[in-house]
Formats: sequence, C-alpha cells, structure tokens
Amino acid sequence: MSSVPQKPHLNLVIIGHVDHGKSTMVGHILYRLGYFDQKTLQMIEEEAKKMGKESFKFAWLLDRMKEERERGVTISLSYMKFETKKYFFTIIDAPGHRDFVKNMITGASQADAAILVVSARKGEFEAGMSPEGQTREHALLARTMGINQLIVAINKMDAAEPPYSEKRYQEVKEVLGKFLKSLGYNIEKIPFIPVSAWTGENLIERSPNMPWYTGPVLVEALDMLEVPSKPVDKPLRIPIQDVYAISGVGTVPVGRVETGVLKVGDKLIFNPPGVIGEVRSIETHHTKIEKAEPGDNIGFNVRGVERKDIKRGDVAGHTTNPPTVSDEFTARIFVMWHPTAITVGYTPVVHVHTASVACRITEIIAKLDPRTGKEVEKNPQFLKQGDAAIVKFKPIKPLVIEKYSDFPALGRFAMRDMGKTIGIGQVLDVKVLEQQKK
Amino acid sequence: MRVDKQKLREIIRELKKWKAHATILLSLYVPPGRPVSDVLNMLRQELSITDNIKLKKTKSAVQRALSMAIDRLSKVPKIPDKGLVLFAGENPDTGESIIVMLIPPEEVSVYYYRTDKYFHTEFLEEMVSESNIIGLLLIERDAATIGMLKGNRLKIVEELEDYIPGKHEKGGQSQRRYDRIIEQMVEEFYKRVGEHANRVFLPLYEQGRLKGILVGGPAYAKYDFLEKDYLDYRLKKIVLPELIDVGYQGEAGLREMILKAGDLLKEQEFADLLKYIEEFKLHLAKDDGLAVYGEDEVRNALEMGMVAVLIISEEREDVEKWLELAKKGGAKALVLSSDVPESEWFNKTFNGLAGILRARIYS
Ligand SMILES: Nc1nc2c(ncn2[C@@H]2O[C@H](COP(=O)(O)OP(=O)(O)OP(=O)(O)O)[C@@H](O)[C@H]2O)c(=O)[nH]1
Ligand SMILES: [Mg+2]
Repeated sequence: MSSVPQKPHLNLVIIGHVDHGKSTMVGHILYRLGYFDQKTLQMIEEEAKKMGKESFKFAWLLDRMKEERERGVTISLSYMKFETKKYFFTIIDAPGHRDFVKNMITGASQADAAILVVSARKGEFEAGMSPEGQTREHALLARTMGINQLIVAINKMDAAEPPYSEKRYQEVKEVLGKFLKSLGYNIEKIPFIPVSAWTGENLIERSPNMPWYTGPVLVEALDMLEVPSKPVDKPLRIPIQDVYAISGVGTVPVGRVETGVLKVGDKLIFNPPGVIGEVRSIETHHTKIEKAEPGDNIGFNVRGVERKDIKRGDVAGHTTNPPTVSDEFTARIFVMWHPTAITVGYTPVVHVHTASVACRITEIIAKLDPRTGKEVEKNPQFLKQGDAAIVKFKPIKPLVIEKYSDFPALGRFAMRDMGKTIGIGQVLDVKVLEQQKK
Repeated sequence: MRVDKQKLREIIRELKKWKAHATILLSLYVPPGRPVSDVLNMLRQELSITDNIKLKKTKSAVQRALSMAIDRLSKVPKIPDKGLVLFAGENPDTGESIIVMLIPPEEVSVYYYRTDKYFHTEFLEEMVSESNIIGLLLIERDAATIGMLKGNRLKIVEELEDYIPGKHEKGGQSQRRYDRIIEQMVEEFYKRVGEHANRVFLPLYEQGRLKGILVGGPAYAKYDFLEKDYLDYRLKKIVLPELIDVGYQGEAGLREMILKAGDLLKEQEFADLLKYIEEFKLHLAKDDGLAVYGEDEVRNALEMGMVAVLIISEEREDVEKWLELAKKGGAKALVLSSDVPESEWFNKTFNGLAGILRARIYS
C-alpha cells in the first residue's frame, strides 16, 4: 500500500437518509478488507457496549467524535482510502441527518461516483422517500453536483419484512428507480444491490440468503465504475475541503484537484483571501507524489501560507490564472421547491464546490420554459416552484465561482433555505470582483 | 421642549433623512449639571476655528449651524434634569435649514459634539430602542452566530468560527489521543462562545430589556452547549423553551431560526415581518386576490376594515398616517425595515405599501 498508486483513483461518496446504514457499511467493508484489525474492532465494540450502542460498532470505526458516538449519527465527513482489484478509492462517508446536508454536499462535490444507501426496513425506506426525506434530497444533490455514476445499496435486507424478502427489494427498487429516472439518471446502468451492512451479506461475498439476486455484489459493482475523463489541459483549480497544520511539516490544505495539474514547486494563489504560497510536497494515499491530476484527492504542503489564512470553500489555482472571485454572477436556475415565491432580495445559501455562501438575488432577468429553455417572460416579479429562470446573484461574502462552460465543477450549484434544497443552477457569467482585477 | 418616546421616534426618522456631502450637520448632547456657559464657550471656540475650513461653501454652512446652535442655547437658563440635545444644519442644495432642540425622555449620559455628514442620532435611538429584545444564538461545534431581535430589526452582533480538524486519518489506537485533543478544542470553543454571548447579553439583561434568548443550530451541539455552564446562569434561565434545528450560521441561519420559531416569538415585529412578507408573496403568486397594493386600493380596503395585515416601509414619509389608518381599520400594522431581504423589492414594486386582505374584495 505504500508504493506509488498504479491503479486509477476514484472518489466515492456514501449518501442516503439518516440511519440507513452508510457508516456501518463503510466500516464493515474496510474491516473485512483488512483496513482495521480485529483488536481495534474489539476495543470499539466494548466501548460501544458500555454506552448501550453495540449496533454502532462498525459505524464507530468512522464516527469518532464524541457528539457522533453519543447520538449515533455521523456529523462530519470521513475520508478513507481503500483499494479493490481495479481501483484506489477515496471513500467519503457523508452524514445523513438533515441538519448536516451542508457537509454532505461538500462530499458530493468531490466525488466521481456515489453509493446511495437505502434501508429496506419497513418505514425507513418510506421516511427517506418522503418530501422531507434525504434519500430524495441526497440523490438530487448528487446529480446537481455532477455525480453521474450511481450504485444503489438496498440495505438492512436482514431486517426486511420478512427478512431477505425479494418482494420488498423489488418494491424499493421500483419506487426509487422511478425517482432516479426523473432526476435524469440512466437507471439501466445503476446496479440495485440487496445487502446487509450489519451481517456483511452481498458486500464482498454473495449472500446465501438471497439466491434470487444474480447481479454483482457491492465490491464487484465498484470495479464496474468508470474513470471520468481528466481535464488536465484546463487551468488548475483545487477547492479546499480542509486545512491542517502539521507540526514539523507546516500548512497542509486538502482537497480534490478539479482541473489542471499541480506540481511540486508551483506557485499557488488561494482565493478569495488572495494568499500566495509555494508547493513543497504533495501527498495522496500517504504517498508522496510529484504531481497531481484531476480527480486526485490530495494533501499538499505550501510554504508561505498559514493555516488560519485559508479555509473550506477557498480555491487554489496557479498565480498565472487565479480562481475567479465573483462580485456578481448570472445563472440559469430551476426552482424545485418553494412554499411561496422567490423575488428580488431573496437570499438562499448557495453551495458550489466546497463553498457555501448566502447569495442575494439582485435581478430576475427572465423566466424560461423549463422544457425548451426559451424565454417566456422578461423581468418577472417573482418565481414559483417549477419555474426555470435566468437570475443574477450577489454573494454576501467573497466567493469563488466560475462559468459552468469553463469549469463545470465550479459552476454548478444548489440553493438551500429553510433546511431544504430549493433549487439548482448553472453559472452563465461571472462579474469579477474589482479588487481582484487590477 | 420635552419629548416622549413616540415623538422622539418621529424626530429621529426626520433627522435621519438629512445627508450632506461635507461635515456640516451639527449634533450636540449635553448631560445635566453642565453649566450652559461652558457649552456656549465651546461652541464659540468652534466657531472661531471655522476660518480654517478651506471650502467656502462648507465654511459658511458650518458657521450658520453653529450660530443657530449658539443662538438657541443662549436662551436656555439651565441644562434640564434629563440633559439637552440639539441638532442644527442646512441642506446645501435647497438652502433649507433645520434646528431641533429637545429634552429627551431619558437622561443624556455623554457630552458629545460633532459636525458630520449626517446627524448623530444613535444616542437617542438607544433611548427609544426596544425594551423587548430577544437574543439569538446559533451554535455548532466549530461556528456560532450571536444576534438579536430589536423591534423590526435583526442585528448580527458577532460571527465566531474556530478551526476544528476534520476526520482525515483512519481510526485506531494512535488516533485516540488526537481525538481527545479535538474534543478539548470543541469545549474551548463553546467556552469562548459562552463568554461572548454573556458579554453581549448580560448588560441588556441587567437593564431589563432582554426578554429571552432563542437558541438554535444543527442537531445536538446546542444541547451540549446549554447542558454545561458556558452561558451565564441568569441568561440560561431565559433561554426560550424550544431549541430550533437550523443548518446554517450567519444571517441566513438567524432568519431560518426566526421563521422556524413560530409562536415562540409572538409579538416580535421582525418575526412577524418575515412571516407576513412570505404570506404576502404567497397570495401574490397564487393570484388569489388577497394581496392588496396601490395607495388608493389599500386606503379603501383599510376603510372597509378588510385589511388583516398592513406592511409599510419605514422609508415612506407618511408612515405615521398609515399606522393611524391601520389602527382605525383594525389591521395589524408592521413597519418594514431594510433588514428584511425583500424590502428593496417591496419598496420598488409596491411603493413600500401593501397588505393582506381578510377576504377578497376586488374581483
Ligand atoms: N439490521 C440491520 N441494521 C443495520 C444495518 N446497517 C446498519 N444498521 C443499523 O442502523 C443504525 C444506523 O447505522 P449507521 O451506519 O450509523 O447509519 P448511517 O447511515 O451512517 O447514519 P448517519 O450517518 O447518521 O446518517 C445502526 O444501529 C446500525 O447497526 C443492516 O444491514 N441491518
Ligand atoms: Mg453515518
């Protein structure tokens, strides 16, 4: 594992409604593949028992925060590395709780593919699919953030009624499949795998309890994913996910390279703050590398930058072609959900790459026919649920955002308000902040 | 002249309309006990140094303001028990001048003199400011927002953030010490938030103006925060009984918390504004005839007693008049401040005046 990774690398985010078994699944797979030893699991098992949370022993391999363990929920993203026959994976375990959708979106923005975990247990699947449910919201957000490859794990088959029921499996597959199709997913290409994250069935080995299922098991399905094309020719953009200060090393921002190539010795600028530094080393999978390419999830040590200078949501680029800090941007949006109406002044939180910043609508330029994209009304007074429009936004704090046509990963966004996803958008144009120009 | 709070509010609103391109608007606050002669001497002294002002227009405007102030003050035998406040200046474009001298409803505590591009009304605003303030606190493990609701305003006092490392390493034996350090960092952050919140809220509490504190944030951190003694025990006692689940921080988070708080914030004008602006937009979008706008239409509906809620922008000249009409017509009246995101749109589109009807009257 310490050699330079030869296998192609993929970022995989695990998404789905709260408690549907995401962390348990990741923990169990990693344990089975030998990434945690038995002693570690035993120790955790004992601790979990003491707190009356034994069923969370696999989840606790990832959920290490006190708040997470006491409540049995994931709060922040976990990043784990593991490999299959074909790939190196960075696996990102996302929280399902509705108050942490903001963290889930960051994870989704960094992923090439997703496993959508849905519980087959009675009532749980239905909760996730309700209008408030995160099975629905996560699937939409994954799509919005550019994830085109999806695997569905129909989990907790051991707890279905009756256990391992093919009928329940079919029911879940049908309802969910229809919904995913409506989001634009090609469901022919999506494997729907019945699993139990708890017993480990159909994760790595085929379950004797579900002989009716003949498709791939989860790990096999992972090897059927494809590596997306790498925009190496574009200018460098690395949205920052976290920043560490490591003693003896220095400042280490981590993030995924979206476009361009990063090399040791490069001069970088982090925007919006505008701080400049030089790359001393790059690391991925605990291995030093000389250069990083699109899709690589890396930590890189920069000289001349302090940890407190930069944070999640900032974007690194070469000083010769810095990431665009926007004063205002124009976007095509679609309003998925809104209880009343959206007018000028409305200020939802915009999630783009790893950033989340409230942005004020300063102008509704035109309403569009959602089907044809043709303009139907100029300067409408308001927008309603189901409307498509061209709208101007002003971020209330400095924000790096790019034209979708230049940098898709930095130009597609989700809008949230009142704890819900109210719409999605793509950036058509960006007005550069004055102070950045000069 | 002695003014009450209601009158003072009107005066402040009037004074705030005055803006100058140069520092020619005079504000003067005199606490009780100070000899009038002292103040007059100071003003005369100021007048004598105005010769240094280079721009002729500015010079003469400042001189006129000072002369008006001196003239008015020299007729005062003694600074009254509550102190004295004076404003003087002129509009350089129209030549119109203004002089206001008043005894405020509460004691003036500072001796303050300034000529500026606007009138310094902030000390008076303190006096009419709400005695019905709600503190706002959003908390999670690495971020917090402190704010307050004051009448029709939402104020963000502070946004705090701390750096808490994420989960990037694989868990194991060696990890545990590091995990504990992280938990300590979280506790340190809660402590800091508590200190800041106490500093902001305790003075208001002691003045008897803070009526409650609304606490929110994502999932569980807010419970952990309140369980320990980060927040002063007196403040803890007035934390509103329901904690609100909110995902975000900052202004967006505060607005979401207020909207979700519902009945917890009864009789809070800003909370009502958010709610009724939403309702107004809904009627507008549904086109159900319950949204009413246009001066004549609104007046007519008010006279018929058909308006349930009237929203008037504070930027309108005739706010008082509409408040009066609303009272007569039995409508709930709300004065819209610029802290509501849709206010600009509301002002532009509806001229700052609209309402929600009890039932349709126009077909
Ligand atoms: N019976 C059964 N229980 C499961 C299975 N998978 C997970 N669980 C249980 O479901 C509960 C939640 O599991 P988690 O792994 O924490 O769920 P999660 O999706 O990561 O939850 P969040 O991260 O908080 O959204 C735990 O009690 C698990 O033991 C399964 O396959 N069968
Ligand atoms: Mg989890």
